[in-house]
Amino acid sequence: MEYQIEAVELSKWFGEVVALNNVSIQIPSGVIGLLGPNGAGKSTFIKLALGLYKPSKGKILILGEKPRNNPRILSQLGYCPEMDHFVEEISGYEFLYWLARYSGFDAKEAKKRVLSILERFKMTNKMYDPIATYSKGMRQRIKLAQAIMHDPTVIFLDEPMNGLDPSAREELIYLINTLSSQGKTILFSSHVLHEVERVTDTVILIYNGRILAFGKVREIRDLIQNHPRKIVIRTFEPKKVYAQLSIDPNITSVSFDTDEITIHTVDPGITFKLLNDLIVEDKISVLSYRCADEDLQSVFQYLVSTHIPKGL
Amino acid sequence: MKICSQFSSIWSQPIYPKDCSKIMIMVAKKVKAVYLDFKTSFLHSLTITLRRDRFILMAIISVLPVMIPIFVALFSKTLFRENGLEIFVKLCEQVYIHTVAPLLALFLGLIGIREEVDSLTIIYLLTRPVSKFAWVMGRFVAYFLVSAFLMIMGIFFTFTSCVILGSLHFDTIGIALMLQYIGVGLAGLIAYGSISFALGSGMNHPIIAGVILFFGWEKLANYVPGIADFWTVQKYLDSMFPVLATQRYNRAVISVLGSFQKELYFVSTQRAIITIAVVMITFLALSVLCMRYREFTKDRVVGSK
Repeated sequence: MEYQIEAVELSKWFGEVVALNNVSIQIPSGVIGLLGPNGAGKSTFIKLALGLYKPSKGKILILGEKPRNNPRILSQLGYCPEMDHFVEEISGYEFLYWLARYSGFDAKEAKKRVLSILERFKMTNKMYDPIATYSKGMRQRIKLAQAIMHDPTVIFLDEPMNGLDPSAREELIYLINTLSSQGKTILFSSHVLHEVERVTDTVILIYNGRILAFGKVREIRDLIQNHPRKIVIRTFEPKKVYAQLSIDPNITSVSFDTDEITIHTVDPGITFKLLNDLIVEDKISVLSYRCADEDLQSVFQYLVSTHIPKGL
Repeated sequence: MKICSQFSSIWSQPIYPKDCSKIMIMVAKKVKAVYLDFKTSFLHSLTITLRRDRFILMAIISVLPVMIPIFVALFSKTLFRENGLEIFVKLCEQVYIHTVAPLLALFLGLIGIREEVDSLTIIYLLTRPVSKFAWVMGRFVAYFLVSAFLMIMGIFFTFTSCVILGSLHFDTIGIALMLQYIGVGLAGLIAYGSISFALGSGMNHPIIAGVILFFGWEKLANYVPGIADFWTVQKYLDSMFPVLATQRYNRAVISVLGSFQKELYFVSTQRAIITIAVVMITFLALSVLCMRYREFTKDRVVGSK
């Protein structure tokens, strides 16, 4: 099997901070989600793959070659950065036109490609307006347009859903699926699991600069299902609530505040059902309840503590 | 029959005509690719620079000295008539070559390249198959053409205002004098511009460094003639001025003081031109190397400095 992206003992550090630590991975073609909380090393990995960073240790190969300062490889890469980096005064058309020229197209071909991609992204009516006047969604579309207009083989999308409204998200998902059906390799980074799930069933989990897992989303979901949850319940009768909940063997710890009770449960499903019964059947006044640690960060911490050997 | 025998000793395999033509085609393709990158970089840089506010600011600054002879003529006509040539020379040397040239390099060269780095639009460029050499050269040529245009316009209009109102004439001597100052001005743009490009692509705070270098070090070092001033651009530009500073208005002292000064403090015009060329090549090469090997993206992982 030929790998599109291959990292061998890849590390990157900035001063004393290790951004990526001894990563070895072989990524085949297709759509791959790069999933991890903020600061996990997703962008660093992408930038190393694009040759924007030089590895501190190890190597990364794209299509079998090192990407840094390699025009042959760079001509086959597309990149949509996470942040907005624009010359605000110029128009979207002009921005894309010059990037098409830098991709090696002559003036006529560059113009043709830009008009075509702007039409595809429904930006034709605003194409001569300065980028400064564009909304967040329009800026995102321009970034995506420049990433694919030169027909690259491997496309890196760094948090592409950020700032997109629901309809634009749907369009992006459709675009990714279309590109995937054309045989492109797409590495799609995100810190939101359900975003990645909608695009691909293959993910790389990255945390603290290390690859935790590389596999199917389903397997990750199974791991997350077992993640013990912290539930915070606001009520005027915390003792009553505690008395009722204490019968649940899934609850591992409880702590009180004046009008708040915090519990840890290994099976949130059963605990939530019990809470509903308390409210509906026992008429206990519960102002609100919420899961305090459902974010990806805590899920990753859980995965690290339970599934990664100590010392890694 | 074997040809290209000079390569045979280098490579273990002999090279046949077919291989030679392949090499030639490869070289031609590479040269064409570099030329296309250069052209794109040049046109891009030119279109962006001409629309910048700082281009308008520099155009105004470049033309402002024209007003000086006019004001002098209006408020002190006699004085101006007596010193028309001197005013033109002083304006060229002190204003255009010592001040406007480094300002143009800072505003149109350094800030131009820095803007790309600071706004991180450079990452789009670095992820495209562009020759860094061609990119730097394209930008440099665009900078040079724009700033040369402003400098030539400024010196020409200053000269014209002096001709109309003062003792300078539109004759062979006058035009030769103007052309010589334009030449020195362009040499200044090349030297200051290449240093600006290297600063812009290689340093984190290039504007501060540029101001300190061009308006601090350059001025201070000239107070120590014969020692520190050899490490300034101004020294070599001054050496290319049409007439040596102390003997400019008194032909009697040319032979004695002039030659003594030339020995001690001045370098020859030829040496000055070579030095400027070396400065240009060195700093542009540095700029290309910085573009090739530096990491320009700013976003770092959480917790990094």
